[in-house]
Amino acid sequence: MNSLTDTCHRSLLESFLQDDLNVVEERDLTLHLNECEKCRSELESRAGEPAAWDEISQLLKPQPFDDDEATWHGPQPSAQIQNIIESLAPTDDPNMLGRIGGYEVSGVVGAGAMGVVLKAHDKSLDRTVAIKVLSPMLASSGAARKRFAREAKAAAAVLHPNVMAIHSVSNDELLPHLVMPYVRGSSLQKRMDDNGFLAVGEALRIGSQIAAGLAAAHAQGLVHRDIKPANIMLEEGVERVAITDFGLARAVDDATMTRTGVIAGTPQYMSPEQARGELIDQQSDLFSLGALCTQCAPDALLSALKLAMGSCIEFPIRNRGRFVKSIPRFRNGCATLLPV
Amino acid sequence: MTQFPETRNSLLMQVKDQRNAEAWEQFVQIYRPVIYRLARQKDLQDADAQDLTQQVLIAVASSIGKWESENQSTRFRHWLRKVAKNAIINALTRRPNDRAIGDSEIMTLMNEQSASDPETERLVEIEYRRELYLRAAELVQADVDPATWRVFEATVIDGQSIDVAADESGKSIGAIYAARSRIVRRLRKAVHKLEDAE
Repeated sequence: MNSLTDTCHRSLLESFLQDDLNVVEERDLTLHLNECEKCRSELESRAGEPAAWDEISQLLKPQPFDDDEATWHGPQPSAQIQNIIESLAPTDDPNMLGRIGGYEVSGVVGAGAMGVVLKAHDKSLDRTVAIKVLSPMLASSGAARKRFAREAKAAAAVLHPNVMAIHSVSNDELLPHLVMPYVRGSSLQKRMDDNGFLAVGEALRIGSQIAAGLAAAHAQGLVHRDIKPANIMLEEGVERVAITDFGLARAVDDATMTRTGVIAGTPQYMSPEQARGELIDQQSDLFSLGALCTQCAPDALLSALKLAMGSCIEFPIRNRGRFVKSIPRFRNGCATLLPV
Repeated sequence: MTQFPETRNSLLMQVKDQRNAEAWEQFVQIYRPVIYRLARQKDLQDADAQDLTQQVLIAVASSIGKWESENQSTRFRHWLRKVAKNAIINALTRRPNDRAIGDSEIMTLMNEQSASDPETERLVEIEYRRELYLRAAELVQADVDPATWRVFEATVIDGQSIDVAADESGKSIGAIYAARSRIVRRLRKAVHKLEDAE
Protein backbone atom coordinates (compact mmCIF):
# COMPACT_ATOMS: atom_id res chain seq x y z
CA MET A 1 0.00 0.00 0.00
CA ASN A 2 1.37 3.40 -0.80
CA SER A 3 0.64 6.48 1.24
CA LEU A 4 -2.07 7.64 -1.13
CA THR A 5 -4.28 4.71 -0.34
CA ASP A 6 -3.66 4.99 3.39
CA THR A 7 -4.29 8.63 4.10
CA CYS A 8 -7.34 10.78 3.53
CA HIS A 9 -7.16 13.43 0.85
CA ARG A 10 -10.36 15.36 1.03
CA SER A 11 -9.62 17.46 -2.03
CA LEU A 12 -9.34 14.31 -4.13
CA LEU A 13 -12.97 13.50 -3.36
CA GLU A 14 -14.23 16.63 -5.09
CA SER A 15 -11.92 16.08 -8.05
CA PHE A 16 -13.17 12.53 -8.32
CA LEU A 17 -16.80 13.66 -8.42
CA GLN A 18 -15.93 16.09 -11.17
CA ASP A 19 -14.17 13.41 -13.20
CA ASP A 20 -10.83 15.14 -12.84
CA LEU A 21 -8.75 12.21 -11.61
CA ASN A 22 -6.60 10.00 -13.81
CA VAL A 23 -6.92 6.23 -13.78
CA VAL A 24 -4.19 5.66 -11.19
CA GLU A 25 -5.55 8.30 -8.84
CA GLU A 26 -9.04 6.86 -9.17
CA ARG A 27 -7.77 3.39 -8.40
CA ASP A 28 -5.93 4.61 -5.33
CA LEU A 29 -8.96 6.51 -4.11
CA THR A 30 -11.13 3.44 -4.58
CA LEU A 31 -8.69 1.36 -2.56
CA HIS A 32 -8.73 4.00 0.13
CA LEU A 33 -12.53 3.99 0.18
CA ASN A 34 -12.45 0.24 0.78
CA GLU A 35 -11.06 0.97 4.23
CA CYS A 36 -12.00 4.53 5.19
CA GLU A 37 -15.56 5.03 6.37
CA LYS A 38 -15.02 8.71 7.01
CA CYS A 39 -14.14 9.38 3.40
CA ARG A 40 -17.08 7.31 2.21
CA SER A 41 -19.60 9.45 4.02
CA GLU A 42 -17.71 12.60 3.11
CA LEU A 43 -17.85 11.57 -0.55
CA GLU A 44 -21.57 10.83 -0.38
CA SER A 45 -22.48 14.12 1.24
CA ARG A 46 -20.36 15.99 -1.29
CA ALA A 47 -22.19 14.15 -4.08
CA GLY A 48 -25.51 15.32 -2.70
CA GLU A 49 -27.15 16.16 0.60
CA PRO A 50 -29.25 13.36 2.17
CA ALA A 51 -32.45 14.92 0.82
CA ALA A 52 -31.10 14.65 -2.72
CA TRP A 53 -30.22 10.96 -2.25
CA ASP A 54 -33.75 10.39 -0.92
CA GLU A 55 -35.32 12.24 -3.80
CA ILE A 56 -33.38 10.20 -6.33
CA SER A 57 -34.24 6.92 -4.71
CA GLN A 58 -37.92 7.90 -4.52
CA LEU A 59 -38.32 9.37 -7.97
CA LEU A 60 -36.42 6.76 -9.93
CA LYS A 61 -38.33 3.85 -8.41
CA PRO A 62 -40.25 2.01 -11.13
CA GLN A 63 -43.93 2.98 -11.29
CA PRO A 64 -46.61 0.30 -11.57
CA PHE A 65 -47.73 1.56 -14.97
CA ASP A 66 -44.28 2.11 -16.48
CA ASP A 67 -44.90 -0.70 -18.94
CA ASP A 68 -48.09 0.89 -20.24
CA GLU A 69 -46.28 4.12 -20.69
CA ALA A 70 -43.56 2.39 -22.68
CA THR A 71 -46.09 0.73 -24.95
CA TRP A 72 -48.38 3.67 -25.44
CA HIS A 73 -46.64 4.45 -28.70
CA GLY A 74 -48.57 3.48 -31.75
CA PRO A 75 -51.83 1.66 -32.16
CA GLN A 76 -52.53 -1.64 -30.48
CA PRO A 77 -52.43 -4.71 -32.76
CA SER A 78 -56.20 -5.19 -32.86
CA ALA A 79 -56.74 -1.58 -33.91
CA GLN A 80 -53.97 -2.03 -36.43
CA ILE A 81 -55.62 -5.10 -37.94
CA GLN A 82 -58.96 -3.35 -38.08
CA ASN A 83 -57.31 -0.42 -39.75
CA ILE A 84 -55.73 -2.49 -42.49
CA ILE A 85 -58.83 -4.58 -43.14
CA GLU A 86 -60.85 -1.41 -43.58
CA SER A 87 -58.35 -0.14 -46.12
CA LEU A 88 -58.72 -3.23 -48.33
CA ALA A 89 -60.47 -2.84 -51.66
CA PRO A 90 -64.01 -4.30 -51.84
CA THR A 91 -64.50 -7.85 -53.09
CA ASP A 92 -67.38 -9.65 -54.81
CA ASP A 93 -66.79 -12.86 -52.94
CA PRO A 94 -68.89 -12.90 -49.74
CA ASN A 95 -66.41 -15.31 -48.12
CA MET A 96 -63.54 -12.90 -48.43
CA LEU A 97 -62.57 -9.87 -46.34
CA GLY A 98 -61.46 -7.72 -49.22
CA ARG A 99 -58.91 -7.40 -51.93
CA ILE A 100 -55.33 -6.28 -52.12
CA GLY A 101 -53.43 -6.23 -55.39
CA GLY A 102 -55.06 -9.10 -57.31
CA TYR A 103 -55.45 -11.18 -54.20
CA GLU A 104 -58.60 -12.12 -52.31
CA VAL A 105 -57.95 -11.79 -48.59
CA SER A 106 -59.48 -14.56 -46.51
CA GLY A 107 -58.08 -13.93 -43.06
CA VAL A 108 -55.47 -12.50 -40.75
CA VAL A 109 -52.49 -14.66 -39.85
CA GLY A 110 -50.85 -12.35 -37.34
CA ALA A 111 -49.73 -8.86 -36.46
CA GLY A 112 -46.47 -7.40 -35.33
CA ALA A 113 -44.61 -4.16 -34.95
CA MET A 114 -44.07 -3.94 -38.66
CA GLY A 115 -47.55 -4.64 -39.87
CA VAL A 116 -50.11 -7.33 -40.40
CA VAL A 117 -49.85 -10.66 -42.21
CA LEU A 118 -52.92 -11.64 -44.22
CA LYS A 119 -53.85 -14.96 -45.73
CA ALA A 120 -55.01 -14.54 -49.30
CA HIS A 121 -55.80 -16.44 -52.44
CA ASP A 122 -54.07 -15.87 -55.75
CA LYS A 123 -56.86 -16.54 -58.26
CA SER A 124 -54.79 -16.63 -61.42
CA LEU A 125 -52.33 -19.19 -60.11
CA ASP A 126 -54.84 -20.79 -57.74
CA ARG A 127 -52.55 -20.85 -54.76
CA THR A 128 -52.67 -19.57 -51.19
CA VAL A 129 -50.29 -16.81 -50.28
CA ALA A 130 -49.36 -14.78 -47.22
CA ILE A 131 -49.35 -11.02 -47.65
CA LYS A 132 -47.37 -8.86 -45.31
CA VAL A 133 -48.82 -5.34 -45.19
CA LEU A 134 -46.65 -2.57 -43.83
CA SER A 135 -48.46 -0.86 -40.97
CA PRO A 136 -50.08 2.43 -42.01
CA MET A 137 -48.08 4.23 -39.35
CA LEU A 138 -44.87 3.17 -41.09
CA ALA A 139 -46.33 3.48 -44.55
CA SER A 140 -47.01 7.15 -43.95
CA SER A 141 -43.26 7.73 -44.05
CA GLY A 142 -42.10 7.96 -47.64
CA ALA A 143 -38.58 6.94 -46.72
CA ALA A 144 -39.78 3.83 -44.92
CA ARG A 145 -42.01 2.87 -47.84
CA LYS A 146 -39.20 3.16 -50.33
CA ARG A 147 -36.84 1.28 -48.09
CA PHE A 148 -39.46 -1.41 -47.58
CA ALA A 149 -39.79 -1.90 -51.32
CA ARG A 150 -36.05 -1.81 -51.93
CA GLU A 151 -35.18 -4.25 -49.17
CA ALA A 152 -37.99 -6.57 -50.18
CA LYS A 153 -36.82 -6.57 -53.78
CA ALA A 154 -33.29 -7.37 -52.70
CA ALA A 155 -34.58 -10.16 -50.49
CA ALA A 156 -36.71 -11.48 -53.34
CA ALA A 157 -33.52 -12.07 -55.30
CA VAL A 158 -32.28 -14.60 -52.77
CA LEU A 159 -33.32 -18.08 -53.75
CA HIS A 160 -32.52 -20.47 -50.98
CA PRO A 161 -34.57 -23.13 -49.22
CA ASN A 162 -33.84 -21.53 -45.87
CA VAL A 163 -34.87 -18.02 -46.84
CA MET A 164 -38.57 -17.29 -47.17
CA ALA A 165 -39.28 -16.71 -50.85
CA ILE A 166 -40.94 -13.48 -51.96
CA HIS A 167 -43.38 -13.67 -54.88
CA SER A 168 -43.89 -9.98 -55.40
CA VAL A 169 -43.53 -6.59 -53.84
CA SER A 170 -45.86 -3.62 -54.04
CA ASN A 171 -44.94 -0.07 -53.21
CA ASP A 172 -48.59 0.92 -53.06
CA GLU A 173 -49.04 4.33 -51.44
CA LEU A 174 -51.83 3.22 -49.15
CA LEU A 175 -50.95 -0.38 -48.39
CA PRO A 176 -47.39 -1.29 -49.31
CA HIS A 177 -47.11 -5.05 -49.08
CA LEU A 178 -45.15 -8.10 -50.10
CA VAL A 179 -46.46 -11.46 -51.16
CA MET A 180 -44.94 -14.68 -49.84
CA PRO A 181 -45.82 -18.36 -49.98
CA TYR A 182 -48.29 -19.33 -47.30
CA VAL A 183 -46.46 -21.66 -44.95
CA ARG A 184 -48.34 -23.85 -42.56
CA GLY A 185 -46.33 -23.93 -39.38
CA SER A 186 -45.19 -21.70 -36.59
CA SER A 187 -42.33 -19.48 -35.70
CA LEU A 188 -39.45 -20.68 -33.61
CA GLN A 189 -40.63 -18.25 -30.95
CA LYS A 190 -44.01 -19.96 -30.81
CA ARG A 191 -42.38 -23.37 -30.71
CA MET A 192 -40.27 -22.31 -27.75
CA ASP A 193 -43.22 -20.68 -26.00
CA ASP A 194 -45.24 -23.88 -26.39
CA ASN A 195 -42.61 -26.57 -25.90
CA GLY A 196 -39.81 -24.89 -24.00
CA PHE A 197 -36.20 -25.51 -24.85
CA LEU A 198 -35.19 -27.43 -27.93
CA ALA A 199 -33.28 -30.69 -27.83
CA VAL A 200 -29.66 -30.19 -28.74
CA GLY A 201 -30.01 -32.00 -32.04
CA GLU A 202 -32.93 -29.80 -32.98
CA ALA A 203 -31.18 -26.63 -31.91
CA LEU A 204 -28.21 -27.54 -34.06
CA ARG A 205 -30.36 -28.51 -37.00
CA ILE A 206 -32.24 -25.24 -36.85
CA GLY A 207 -29.11 -23.22 -36.17
CA SER A 208 -27.26 -24.71 -39.11
CA GLN A 209 -30.18 -24.12 -41.47
CA ILE A 210 -30.38 -20.51 -40.38
CA ALA A 211 -26.65 -20.22 -40.94
CA ALA A 212 -27.04 -21.67 -44.43
CA GLY A 213 -29.84 -19.23 -45.25
CA LEU A 214 -27.85 -16.32 -43.90
CA ALA A 215 -24.79 -17.36 -45.88
CA ALA A 216 -26.83 -17.28 -49.11
CA ALA A 217 -28.26 -13.85 -48.34
CA HIS A 218 -24.98 -12.47 -47.12
CA ALA A 219 -23.37 -13.60 -50.34
CA GLN A 220 -25.68 -11.11 -52.05
CA GLY A 221 -24.74 -8.35 -49.67
CA LEU A 222 -27.94 -8.42 -47.60
CA VAL A 223 -28.10 -7.92 -43.86
CA HIS A 224 -31.13 -9.20 -42.00
CA ARG A 225 -30.78 -6.89 -38.96
CA ASP A 226 -33.35 -8.63 -36.82
CA ILE A 227 -32.54 -12.32 -36.48
CA LYS A 228 -34.66 -13.66 -33.64
CA PRO A 229 -36.89 -16.68 -33.01
CA ALA A 230 -40.01 -14.79 -34.10
CA ASN A 231 -38.47 -14.32 -37.55
CA ILE A 232 -37.67 -17.99 -38.05
CA MET A 233 -40.49 -20.05 -39.59
CA LEU A 234 -40.69 -23.79 -38.98
CA GLU A 235 -42.73 -25.58 -41.59
CA GLU A 236 -45.27 -27.97 -40.25
CA GLY A 237 -44.50 -31.64 -40.88
CA VAL A 238 -41.27 -31.16 -42.77
CA GLU A 239 -38.21 -30.15 -40.89
CA ARG A 240 -37.47 -27.10 -42.93
CA VAL A 241 -36.49 -23.76 -41.45
CA ALA A 242 -36.97 -20.46 -43.27
CA ILE A 243 -35.79 -16.98 -42.33
CA THR A 244 -38.39 -14.26 -42.87
CA ASP A 245 -38.36 -10.47 -42.97
CA PHE A 246 -34.99 -9.90 -44.55
CA GLY A 247 -33.84 -6.31 -44.14
CA LEU A 248 -37.29 -5.13 -43.15
CA ALA A 249 -36.13 -3.94 -39.75
CA ARG A 250 -34.43 -1.23 -41.69
CA ALA A 251 -37.69 0.13 -43.05
CA VAL A 252 -38.96 0.35 -39.49
CA ASP A 253 -35.73 2.10 -38.60
CA ASP A 254 -36.37 4.75 -41.22
CA ALA A 255 -39.82 5.47 -39.97
CA THR A 256 -39.16 5.40 -36.25
CA MET A 257 -35.72 6.91 -35.93
CA THR A 258 -36.90 10.39 -36.63
CA ARG A 259 -39.96 10.02 -34.48
CA THR A 260 -38.87 8.33 -31.32
CA GLY A 261 -35.14 7.78 -31.51
CA VAL A 262 -35.68 4.03 -31.21
CA ILE A 263 -33.24 1.64 -32.84
CA ALA A 264 -35.04 -1.16 -34.64
CA GLY A 265 -34.03 -4.68 -33.76
CA THR A 266 -34.57 -6.80 -30.71
CA PRO A 267 -32.40 -6.09 -27.70
CA GLN A 268 -31.76 -9.68 -26.62
CA TYR A 269 -30.34 -10.56 -30.00
CA MET A 270 -28.73 -7.30 -30.96
CA SER A 271 -25.03 -7.09 -31.65
CA PRO A 272 -23.13 -4.47 -29.65
CA GLU A 273 -22.59 -2.25 -32.69
CA GLN A 274 -26.26 -2.40 -33.59
CA ALA A 275 -27.25 -1.51 -30.05
CA ARG A 276 -24.90 1.44 -30.23
CA GLY A 277 -26.65 2.55 -33.39
CA GLU A 278 -23.52 2.20 -35.49
CA LEU A 279 -23.33 0.98 -39.04
CA ILE A 280 -23.72 -2.76 -39.11
CA ASP A 281 -22.85 -5.49 -41.56
CA GLN A 282 -23.38 -9.23 -41.99
CA GLN A 283 -21.43 -10.02 -38.86
CA SER A 284 -24.14 -8.45 -36.77
CA ASP A 285 -26.57 -11.14 -38.00
CA LEU A 286 -24.14 -13.83 -36.86
CA PHE A 287 -24.04 -12.29 -33.44
CA SER A 288 -27.84 -12.44 -33.32
CA LEU A 289 -27.74 -16.04 -34.52
CA GLY A 290 -25.35 -16.87 -31.71
CA ALA A 291 -27.69 -15.24 -29.23
CA LEU A 292 -30.67 -17.09 -30.73
CA CYS A 293 -28.98 -20.50 -30.45
CA THR A 294 -27.98 -19.77 -26.89
CA GLN A 295 -31.56 -18.99 -26.05
CA CYS A 296 -32.95 -22.10 -27.74
CA ALA A 297 -31.11 -24.61 -25.61
CA PRO A 298 -31.01 -25.19 -21.86
CA ASP A 299 -27.83 -24.54 -19.95
CA ALA A 300 -26.86 -28.19 -19.86
CA LEU A 301 -26.68 -28.31 -23.62
CA LEU A 302 -24.96 -25.01 -24.00
CA SER A 303 -21.49 -26.44 -23.80
CA ALA A 304 -22.20 -28.72 -26.73
CA LEU A 305 -23.65 -25.80 -28.68
CA LYS A 306 -20.79 -23.55 -27.79
CA LEU A 307 -18.41 -26.09 -29.23
CA ALA A 308 -20.21 -25.80 -32.51
CA MET A 309 -20.77 -22.11 -32.45
CA GLY A 310 -18.37 -20.69 -29.90
CA SER A 311 -17.04 -18.52 -32.65
CA CYS A 312 -20.44 -16.91 -32.99
CA ILE A 313 -20.55 -15.92 -29.38
CA GLU A 314 -17.03 -14.73 -28.86
CA PHE A 315 -15.73 -13.43 -32.12
CA PRO A 316 -18.00 -10.44 -32.40
CA ILE A 317 -16.12 -8.89 -29.53
CA ARG A 318 -12.65 -10.23 -30.10
CA ASN A 319 -12.01 -10.29 -33.76
CA ARG A 320 -14.74 -9.14 -36.01
CA GLY A 321 -12.69 -9.44 -39.16
CA ARG A 322 -12.39 -13.20 -38.93
CA PHE A 323 -15.96 -13.73 -38.00
CA VAL A 324 -17.43 -13.93 -41.45
CA LYS A 325 -15.28 -16.92 -42.21
CA SER A 326 -16.86 -18.84 -39.40
CA ILE A 327 -20.12 -19.58 -41.19
CA PRO A 328 -18.93 -22.74 -42.92
CA ARG A 329 -17.17 -23.75 -39.76
CA PHE A 330 -20.35 -23.26 -37.82
CA ARG A 331 -22.25 -25.48 -40.22
CA ASN A 332 -19.65 -28.20 -40.12
CA GLY A 333 -19.64 -28.02 -36.37
CA CYS A 334 -23.40 -28.46 -36.29
CA ALA A 335 -23.21 -31.39 -38.64
CA THR A 336 -20.63 -33.25 -36.59
CA LEU A 337 -22.60 -32.73 -33.41
CA LEU A 338 -25.91 -33.92 -34.81
CA PRO A 339 -26.75 -37.26 -33.27
CA VAL A 340 -26.86 -40.03 -35.85
CA MET B 1 -42.37 11.01 -26.52
CA THR B 2 -43.88 11.90 -29.83
CA GLN B 3 -46.87 9.74 -29.81
CA PHE B 4 -49.34 12.04 -31.49
CA PRO B 5 -47.20 13.56 -34.22
CA GLU B 6 -50.11 14.95 -36.19
CA THR B 7 -51.65 16.68 -33.24
CA ARG B 8 -48.29 17.87 -32.15
CA ASN B 9 -47.74 19.58 -35.44
CA SER B 10 -51.12 21.19 -35.40
CA LEU B 11 -50.54 22.32 -31.85
CA LEU B 12 -47.29 23.82 -32.96
CA MET B 13 -49.11 25.94 -35.49
CA GLN B 14 -50.44 27.88 -32.54
CA VAL B 15 -46.96 29.06 -31.65
CA LYS B 16 -45.80 31.58 -34.17
CA ASP B 17 -42.52 32.68 -32.73
CA GLN B 18 -39.75 30.18 -33.52
CA ARG B 19 -38.06 30.45 -30.14
CA ASN B 20 -41.36 29.89 -28.43
CA ALA B 21 -41.96 26.92 -30.69
CA GLU B 22 -38.86 25.30 -29.26
CA ALA B 23 -39.95 26.12 -25.74
CA TRP B 24 -43.32 24.56 -26.51
CA GLU B 25 -41.67 21.45 -27.91
CA GLN B 26 -39.64 21.01 -24.74
CA PHE B 27 -42.64 21.72 -22.62
CA VAL B 28 -44.65 18.99 -24.33
CA GLN B 29 -41.84 16.48 -24.02
CA ILE B 30 -41.64 16.99 -20.29
CA TYR B 31 -45.28 17.53 -19.48
CA ARG B 32 -46.84 14.78 -21.58
CA PRO B 33 -45.48 12.00 -19.33
CA VAL B 34 -46.08 14.15 -16.26
CA ILE B 35 -49.78 14.53 -17.01
CA TYR B 36 -50.09 10.90 -18.03
CA ARG B 37 -48.60 9.65 -14.79
CA LEU B 38 -50.75 11.97 -12.70
CA ALA B 39 -53.82 10.66 -14.46
CA ARG B 40 -52.77 7.07 -13.87
CA GLN B 41 -52.26 7.83 -10.20
CA LYS B 42 -55.86 9.02 -10.13
CA ASP B 43 -56.81 5.51 -11.26
CA LEU B 44 -57.50 6.37 -14.87
CA GLN B 45 -56.83 3.57 -17.33
CA ASP B 46 -54.17 3.81 -19.98
CA ALA B 47 -56.48 5.01 -22.76
CA ASP B 48 -58.29 7.51 -20.54
CA ALA B 49 -55.03 8.85 -19.22
CA GLN B 50 -53.80 9.37 -22.77
CA ASP B 51 -57.04 11.12 -23.53
CA LEU B 52 -56.73 13.45 -20.63
CA THR B 53 -53.11 14.16 -21.48
CA GLN B 54 -54.13 15.11 -24.96
CA GLN B 55 -56.96 17.27 -23.66
CA VAL B 56 -54.77 19.23 -21.30
CA LEU B 57 -52.13 19.81 -23.95
CA ILE B 58 -54.74 20.98 -26.43
CA ALA B 59 -56.20 23.28 -23.82
CA VAL B 60 -52.83 24.82 -23.08
CA ALA B 61 -52.04 25.13 -26.78
CA SER B 62 -55.34 26.83 -27.55
CA SER B 63 -54.67 29.51 -24.99
CA ILE B 64 -51.26 30.38 -26.35
CA GLY B 65 -52.78 33.07 -28.52
CA LYS B 66 -53.86 34.78 -25.34
CA TRP B 67 -50.29 34.96 -24.15
CA GLU B 68 -49.09 36.27 -27.48
CA SER B 69 -51.60 39.10 -27.45
CA GLU B 70 -51.66 40.02 -23.77
CA ASN B 71 -49.02 38.61 -21.57
CA GLN B 72 -45.73 39.14 -23.29
CA SER B 73 -44.20 40.49 -20.12
CA THR B 74 -44.12 37.03 -18.59
CA ARG B 75 -41.58 34.63 -20.05
CA PHE B 76 -43.26 32.08 -22.27
CA ARG B 77 -41.83 29.08 -20.43
CA HIS B 78 -42.97 30.31 -17.07
CA TRP B 79 -46.35 31.18 -18.39
CA LEU B 80 -46.70 27.69 -19.93
CA ARG B 81 -45.88 26.01 -16.65
CA LYS B 82 -48.40 28.08 -14.74
CA VAL B 83 -51.18 27.54 -17.25
CA ALA B 84 -50.41 23.83 -17.45
CA LYS B 85 -50.55 23.47 -13.70
CA ASN B 86 -54.01 25.01 -13.58
CA ALA B 87 -55.24 22.93 -16.48
CA ILE B 88 -53.94 19.74 -14.90
CA ILE B 89 -55.51 20.49 -11.57
CA ASN B 90 -58.82 21.33 -13.23
CA ALA B 91 -58.73 18.22 -15.36
CA LEU B 92 -57.86 15.92 -12.49
CA THR B 93 -60.16 17.31 -9.88
CA ARG B 94 -63.29 18.00 -11.91
CA ARG B 95 -63.29 15.40 -14.57
CA PRO B 96 -66.65 13.61 -14.76
CA ASN B 97 -66.44 10.12 -16.20
CA ASP B 98 -66.79 9.58 -19.89
CA ARG B 99 -67.51 13.06 -20.95
CA ALA B 100 -67.16 14.04 -24.55
CA ILE B 101 -64.18 16.06 -25.60
CA GLY B 102 -65.17 19.24 -27.33
CA ASP B 103 -63.90 22.73 -27.67
CA SER B 104 -66.13 24.08 -24.93
CA GLU B 105 -64.93 21.45 -22.50
CA ILE B 106 -61.37 22.22 -23.30
CA MET B 107 -61.84 25.90 -22.79
CA THR B 108 -63.47 25.18 -19.44
CA LEU B 109 -60.19 23.73 -18.34
CA MET B 110 -58.56 27.03 -19.08
CA ASN B 111 -61.14 29.57 -18.09
CA GLU B 112 -62.22 28.43 -14.71
CA GLN B 113 -60.12 29.61 -11.89
CA SER B 114 -58.21 26.64 -10.66
CA ALA B 115 -59.60 25.24 -7.46
CA SER B 116 -57.10 25.56 -4.74
CA ASP B 117 -55.96 22.00 -4.29
CA PRO B 118 -52.61 21.90 -2.53
CA GLU B 119 -52.51 18.12 -2.60
CA THR B 120 -52.79 17.91 -6.40
CA GLU B 121 -50.42 20.83 -6.73
CA ARG B 122 -47.86 18.91 -4.71
CA LEU B 123 -48.35 15.84 -6.89
CA VAL B 124 -47.84 17.91 -10.04
CA GLU B 125 -44.58 19.19 -8.63
CA ILE B 126 -43.42 15.67 -7.68
CA GLU B 127 -44.21 14.28 -11.12
CA TYR B 128 -42.45 17.20 -12.74
CA ARG B 129 -39.36 16.48 -10.66
CA ARG B 130 -39.65 12.79 -11.51
CA GLU B 131 -39.66 13.54 -15.19
CA LEU B 132 -36.56 15.70 -14.82
CA TYR B 133 -34.79 12.91 -12.96
CA LEU B 134 -35.90 10.26 -15.44
CA ARG B 135 -34.47 12.33 -18.27
CA ALA B 136 -31.29 12.99 -16.34
CA ALA B 137 -31.02 9.26 -15.62
CA GLU B 138 -31.28 8.52 -19.31
CA LEU B 139 -28.44 10.93 -20.07
CA VAL B 140 -26.20 9.73 -17.27
CA GLN B 141 -26.86 6.05 -17.89
CA ALA B 142 -25.73 6.41 -21.48
CA ASP B 143 -22.35 7.54 -20.19
CA VAL B 144 -21.83 4.87 -17.55
CA ASP B 145 -21.01 1.23 -18.14
CA PRO B 146 -23.98 -1.08 -17.53
CA ALA B 147 -22.49 -2.92 -14.55
CA THR B 148 -21.85 0.36 -12.73
CA TRP B 149 -25.37 1.55 -13.43
CA ARG B 150 -26.79 -1.72 -12.09
CA VAL B 151 -24.87 -1.23 -8.87
CA PHE B 152 -26.28 2.27 -8.55
CA GLU B 153 -29.82 1.02 -9.18
CA ALA B 154 -29.47 -1.86 -6.76
CA THR B 155 -28.01 0.12 -3.86
CA VAL B 156 -29.59 3.55 -4.22
CA ILE B 157 -32.97 2.82 -5.77
CA ASP B 158 -33.75 -0.74 -4.70
CA GLY B 159 -32.14 -0.38 -1.30
CA GLN B 160 -29.76 -3.32 -1.58
CA SER B 161 -26.96 -3.27 0.99
CA ILE B 162 -23.48 -2.39 -0.20
CA ASP B 163 -22.09 -5.73 0.97
CA VAL B 164 -24.59 -7.75 -1.02
CA ALA B 165 -24.08 -5.55 -4.08
CA ALA B 166 -20.33 -6.02 -3.77
CA ASP B 167 -20.80 -9.79 -3.64
CA GLU B 168 -23.13 -9.87 -6.62
CA SER B 169 -21.24 -7.48 -8.84
CA GLY B 170 -17.72 -8.54 -7.94
CA LYS B 171 -16.83 -4.90 -7.35
CA SER B 172 -15.03 -3.76 -4.22
CA ILE B 173 -16.90 -1.82 -1.56
CA GLY B 174 -14.81 1.25 -2.27
CA ALA B 175 -15.61 1.03 -5.95
CA ILE B 176 -19.33 0.88 -5.20
CA TYR B 177 -19.22 3.95 -2.95
CA ALA B 178 -17.19 5.80 -5.55
CA ALA B 179 -19.40 4.82 -8.49
CA ARG B 180 -22.74 5.57 -6.93
CA SER B 181 -21.59 8.90 -5.49
CA ARG B 182 -20.39 10.02 -8.85
CA ILE B 183 -23.65 8.97 -10.49
CA VAL B 184 -25.64 10.92 -7.89
CA ARG B 185 -23.50 13.98 -8.56
CA ARG B 186 -23.96 13.65 -12.31
CA LEU B 187 -27.70 13.17 -11.95
CA ARG B 188 -28.03 16.34 -9.92
CA LYS B 189 -25.93 18.25 -12.39
CA ALA B 190 -28.05 17.01 -15.28
CA VAL B 191 -31.26 17.92 -13.46
CA HIS B 192 -30.02 21.45 -12.82
CA LYS B 193 -29.21 21.80 -16.47
CA LEU B 194 -32.65 20.57 -17.50
CA GLU B 195 -34.31 22.94 -15.07
CA ASP B 196 -32.44 25.85 -16.54
CA ALA B 197 -33.35 24.85 -20.05
CA GLU B 198 -37.00 24.34 -19.19
